[in-house]
Amino acid sequence: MAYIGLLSLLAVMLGLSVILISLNWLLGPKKKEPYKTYPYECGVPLYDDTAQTTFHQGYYILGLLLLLFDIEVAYLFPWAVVYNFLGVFGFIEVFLFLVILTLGLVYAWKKEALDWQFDLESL
Amino acid sequence: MQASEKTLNEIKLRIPYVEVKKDKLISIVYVQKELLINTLKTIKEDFGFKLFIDHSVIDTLEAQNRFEAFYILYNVDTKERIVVKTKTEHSLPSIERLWFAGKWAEREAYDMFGIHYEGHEHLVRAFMWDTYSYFPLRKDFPLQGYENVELPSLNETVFGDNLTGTMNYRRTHTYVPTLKDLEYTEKNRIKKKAQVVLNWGPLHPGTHGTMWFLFDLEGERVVQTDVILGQLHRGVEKLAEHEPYQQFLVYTDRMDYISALCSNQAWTVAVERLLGIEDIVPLKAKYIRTMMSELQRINSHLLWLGTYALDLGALTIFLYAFKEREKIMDIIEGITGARLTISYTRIGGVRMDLPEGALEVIESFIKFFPKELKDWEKILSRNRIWLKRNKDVGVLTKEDIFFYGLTGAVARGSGVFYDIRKLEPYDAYGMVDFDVPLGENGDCYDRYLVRVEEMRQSVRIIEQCVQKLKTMSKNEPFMAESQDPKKLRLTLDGIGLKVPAGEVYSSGENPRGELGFYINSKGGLKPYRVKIRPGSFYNLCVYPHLMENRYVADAVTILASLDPVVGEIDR
Amino acid sequence: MDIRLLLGSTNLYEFKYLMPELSVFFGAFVLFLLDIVMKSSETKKRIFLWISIIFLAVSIFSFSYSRVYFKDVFSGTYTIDTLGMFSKIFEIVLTLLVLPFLHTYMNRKNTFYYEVYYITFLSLLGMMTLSSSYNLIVIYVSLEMVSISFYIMTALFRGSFISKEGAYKYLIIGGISIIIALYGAAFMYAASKSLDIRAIMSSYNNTNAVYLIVGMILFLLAFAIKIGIIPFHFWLPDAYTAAPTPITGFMASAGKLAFFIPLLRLMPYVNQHLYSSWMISVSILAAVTMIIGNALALVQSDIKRLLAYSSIAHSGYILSVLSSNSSMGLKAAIYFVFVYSIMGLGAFLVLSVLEQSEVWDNQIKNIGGLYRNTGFLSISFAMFLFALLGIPPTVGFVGKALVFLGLAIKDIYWLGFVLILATAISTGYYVRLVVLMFMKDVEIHFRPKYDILENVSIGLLVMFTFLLGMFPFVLWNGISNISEFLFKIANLR
Repeated sequence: MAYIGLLSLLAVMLGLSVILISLNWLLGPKKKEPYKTYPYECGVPLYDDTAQTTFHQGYYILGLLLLLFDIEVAYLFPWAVVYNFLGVFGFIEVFLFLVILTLGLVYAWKKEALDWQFDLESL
Repeated sequence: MQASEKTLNEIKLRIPYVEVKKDKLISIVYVQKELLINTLKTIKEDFGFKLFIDHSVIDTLEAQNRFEAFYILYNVDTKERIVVKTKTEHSLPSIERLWFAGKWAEREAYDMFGIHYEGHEHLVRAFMWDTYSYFPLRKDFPLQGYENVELPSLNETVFGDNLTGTMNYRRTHTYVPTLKDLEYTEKNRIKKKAQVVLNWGPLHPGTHGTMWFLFDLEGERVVQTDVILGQLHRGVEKLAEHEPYQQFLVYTDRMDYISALCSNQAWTVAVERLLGIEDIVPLKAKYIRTMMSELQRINSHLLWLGTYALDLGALTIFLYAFKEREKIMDIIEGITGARLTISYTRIGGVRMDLPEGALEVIESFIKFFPKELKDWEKILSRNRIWLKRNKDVGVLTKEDIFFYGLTGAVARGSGVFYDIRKLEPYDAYGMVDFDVPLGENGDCYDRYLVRVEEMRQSVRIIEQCVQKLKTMSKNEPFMAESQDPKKLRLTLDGIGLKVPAGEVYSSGENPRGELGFYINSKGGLKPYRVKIRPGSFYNLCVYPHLMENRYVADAVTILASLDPVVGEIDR
Repeated sequence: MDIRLLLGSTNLYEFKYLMPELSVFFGAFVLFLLDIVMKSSETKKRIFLWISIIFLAVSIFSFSYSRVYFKDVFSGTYTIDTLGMFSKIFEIVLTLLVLPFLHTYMNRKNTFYYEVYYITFLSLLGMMTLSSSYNLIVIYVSLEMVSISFYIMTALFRGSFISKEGAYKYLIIGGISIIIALYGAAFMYAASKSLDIRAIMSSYNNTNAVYLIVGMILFLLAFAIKIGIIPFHFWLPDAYTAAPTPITGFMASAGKLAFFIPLLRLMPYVNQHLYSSWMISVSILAAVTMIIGNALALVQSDIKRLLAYSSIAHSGYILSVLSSNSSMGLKAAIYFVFVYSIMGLGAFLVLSVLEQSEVWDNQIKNIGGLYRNTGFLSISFAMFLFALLGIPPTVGFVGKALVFLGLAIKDIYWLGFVLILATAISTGYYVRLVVLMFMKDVEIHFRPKYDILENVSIGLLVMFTFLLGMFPFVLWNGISNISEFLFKIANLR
């Protein structure tokens, strides 16, 4: 009974989604046009079927590094709140934590994950 | 001017196997097909005829060597023009190595006549879709085309088979291209080398008309690009063979619809040169034609400036430019009766005299216009963003101008003094003072400055024309009177105007470039072959070269600075 | 918090019992710094190999530093006992045997990554801590450490999409297993308010029975995913095929060993109340795995994939005997898991030597006549295959016999029949490989390149397989004592 609120939220969510989608499907017009979902590329047929192609790996790696260091910073927030209480022990522990993560940054640096000057030709 | 006797004799001395001919209108060098390339090379390199003007083919319907091909070249230093002609049955060597513009001209000749060019790198059709099986400009292709397809219209789908009254028309049509044809054309035009091929397609507000570009992109960098034309192809050259000379004037409006009066003037001058009546056109008509042409030039350059700034993001200039354009178009409407498709000139003069008050209105316009122009230049010319986007973008060297056959402001932006108004004066241009601005670097910024300065020079010309016209009385004739009405009928409607046999190439300085007309007449009311040399067509052929290794953002800048109009490109 | 209080409670002096782990960790650190500082060259590769071997040797020798047989250090989160020591020594030795193969394999295939060395070290560290703890948190963290290192190492095959695909599958399904482990740990903690497996399993009472059982089964499931029990095995053939073969060998031997240890630690504490649920789930899973694992291996055409499926089947064998709640069962399980790691590693390592020639593509139809090309490798491969099959006098036979004995002691005869049936099915593919190697005509001609360290490793493994099969009591006595000891401790609670 303590979770009755959660259950009712779940029921409303599910019910609402089901009702809305089924109403749309029932009452909406159904006209099948051959080129209705065809992507618009200035009115002519597509040359390339898909615009999803490969992209430079650097974007992915940079996003990954951002995620990791962002979470590292997120871990520093609770520590900052109780810093006074933890004293020297807290300092040394977080120092070790940051050292380990900085070693990770040094690794990424040395392995050229942060190099963004590519020649135009190599793209 | 036509190439002089001296030049022709030198050519004959150097290349003994050609024949030369010169008459008042045109200087021709006849050569055999096999020796064509060598001849052209010699004429280009040793005699300095570096600028490529035009190339096309005439279908002479003779039993042997049916097609007669002509190449028009120009020497900028000595101001001479020469025509090289050859005859062939069905194929020609390609002049792609000598002039790149020839590649596009050859595509058009292949498309229209079916001439096969040996050595051409990628011979595809210029205007028709690639699966089209006919060659329209041949003389055995009927004017209405081959109607062999049933395409039901809305009337048939609604009313079925019983169509009466005005709806009782022929139901068969000529073939209309389907999406499959378009797809085949598109895939045939470019072979993908990089990441993705994007259509900067016909229906796009940034392409200045319905041009179809294909970009082979690597990220945002363009690796190769090509253009598919023909979305606005109306078969004007085919129609010209069936229209009397005066009647063809209305087609010239609709080709370059932004600078209609200039095109009208170019056609009229061409026919007058062919008839030989340039001297009897009254002075008033010449001044009126010059003045109207210059007004139209300002009009066209304002449109160019407005859309150029609009494409790059300076929206205010668009509104300012169009405000001034409204004033000009009101003036033109008051004088000629139309805003866009004007057809004001007639062979021998103009349609009607200037109405009362026209000159005062024009004077008041040109009093305030240069101040407006100075204000706009304050916004744009020293603007950091404008400079960053236009400086060193799309640089053309002098050699490029000759190689790609570029004319107009594009040529002048690179420092080549090529202005038909000065080199081959027609109408009143020989009698007015004006300067021709030349650029230094040949980038987009220089072209912009050249065109803005041209607007100022146009104001100068108009001022002088207005002064001169004020001194002429109201009763001066505006239309030429023919001395011998039986031999040469010059009327306002042009019915019955017979033109003697001959050929001429005459061009006018459109705001876009050089609009040239090559008229081949065999006597009679209608021309035998009209080849229109559009400035925008050859200006556009440098686009793939300029876009290599540039980013997509420069595509808009470069295209706008070349100032194309699709009606003229596709005809 | 006062620093003295903290230092007093951290038991820093207890680190001396962790010397092996510390030397491995220190080795990983040194290798990492070397990788950053040095420029890549041939000498760097050799330095890495030899430094790794040196640190592993140091680690083995540091076992003699602390002579203790049973001790709970770090306030109960870490346990030093003989099972832990045995498994740690085994893991280190297996890593030592794999290292030379890594070097030559990566060189030949032009996919040299210096990271493999220190990631192997870190996974070894994870395996060592996984093998010696009863604390749920330490188990979880070590499990993650081992798993993440494995994900990385699976993908370290330059330019091969298959490798990345296998690593991706491993990552996703490994993530699921971690989640299930956490879920089980949450239930177990909720049931007993303690994080130590011994305390949890002994805190059975009527109110928390449900939570305890659910937690235990989920915990079992998490490790079942990791060791490749059907129907959770879907990542295993792809990951094993995708990884570079020495890494596969490492994963199949030391990894499987490490993943089994918590289950082996859990088993003595399953008391009679929990026994029914434990027995039903374990036996059904094991039966299904044995049958289907072998049946799937029968239809494979790729040798590496076949060995992966055989490793699935062997997990089934080991798991089956865990369903018998007796000391004999535990002995059989521990014995078989150690022994399987030797045999499994040997098979994969032979394959990794063969793969170094360009003409070898791991297909069964090309294995014909291997004897003509290379005597040593084909004989050792045959040895390992017979061991996997369970033919005397190899050690695999002893392991299977002990498993059968463990099942029979507790009257779980049906599982014994399934075991025999599964072994019969497995005969099909093992014997076929051996027959093809020795009796058919040569399909492809090639000369595998010989490297002295590799040959020494393979030779050692063959020797172990043979000798331990001939003299099983060498290992048996120690394991027997371990198992008796664990059961005694469990029953004391």
